[in-house]
Amino acid sequence: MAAETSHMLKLCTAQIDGALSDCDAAIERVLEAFTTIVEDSQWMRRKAQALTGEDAQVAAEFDMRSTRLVTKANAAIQALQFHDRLTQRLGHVRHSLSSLGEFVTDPERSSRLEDWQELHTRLGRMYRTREEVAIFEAVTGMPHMSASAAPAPAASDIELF
Amino acid sequence: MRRSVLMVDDSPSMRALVRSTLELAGFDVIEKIDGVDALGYAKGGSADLVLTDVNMPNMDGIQLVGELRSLPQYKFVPILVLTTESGGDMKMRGRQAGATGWIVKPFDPAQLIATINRVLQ
Repeated sequence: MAAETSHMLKLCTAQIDGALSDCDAAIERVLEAFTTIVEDSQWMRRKAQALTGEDAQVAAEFDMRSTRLVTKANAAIQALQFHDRLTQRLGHVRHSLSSLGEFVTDPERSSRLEDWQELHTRLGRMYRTREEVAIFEAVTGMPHMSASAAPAPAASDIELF
Repeated sequence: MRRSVLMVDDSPSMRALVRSTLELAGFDVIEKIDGVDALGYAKGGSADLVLTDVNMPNMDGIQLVGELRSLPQYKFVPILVLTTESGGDMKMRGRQAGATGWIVKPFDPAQLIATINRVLQ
């Protein structure tokens, strides 16, 4: 029974690994495309700046559109960072499943309540982001050990020491 | 002359996002996947600035900051921490280890570049 459970949990972790790997490859391709678009746009902008006379109007239009493109690319880069958070959170889930798989195949440890509690605490400590802590507390009905409840960061929180 | 940034993050997608942002702003980027990897590079190689994540396998970002500060060639190099961690305790640890600044993910590319340029001045 325990071996079967462990086997099923291994299948879960393998599925997560596969999905994350596919996502990484997709993000790489998206970024490559963005980088090329922005680089080409910057090149066209430089060329347009050399235009004079009646073409100056065209140069101004190029400049405006190029700036807009870079702004949009920056917004996309910020939005794409959801993937990093997703990877981090799924990594924690993956680690939990893997640890649980090892735990249940150890008859001595899995028969002791205090060992279950230790596992619960150890795995719970991994969930550190605000979102993870919120889910932890909602599901377990207990306060999270970090009790961090850190205030939500602003869109970009920068502090120089 | 192009400046170089030693960027340390175990997430391939985050490395790609940061690399893309920095290269478009005219920086050379040296990518390392964790603290041990970065420290191995730093012992023989240079960088104008270090940008590191915190939660990484093998050696975390806070420990890396401390280790880098013990190397003569990195004593005064700006080290920015780029992380999802926003708790005061963690920031304090980073500051005590010798970090120059703390940036919480998700980062705004324009603000990241502005911050890097500011600490490089």
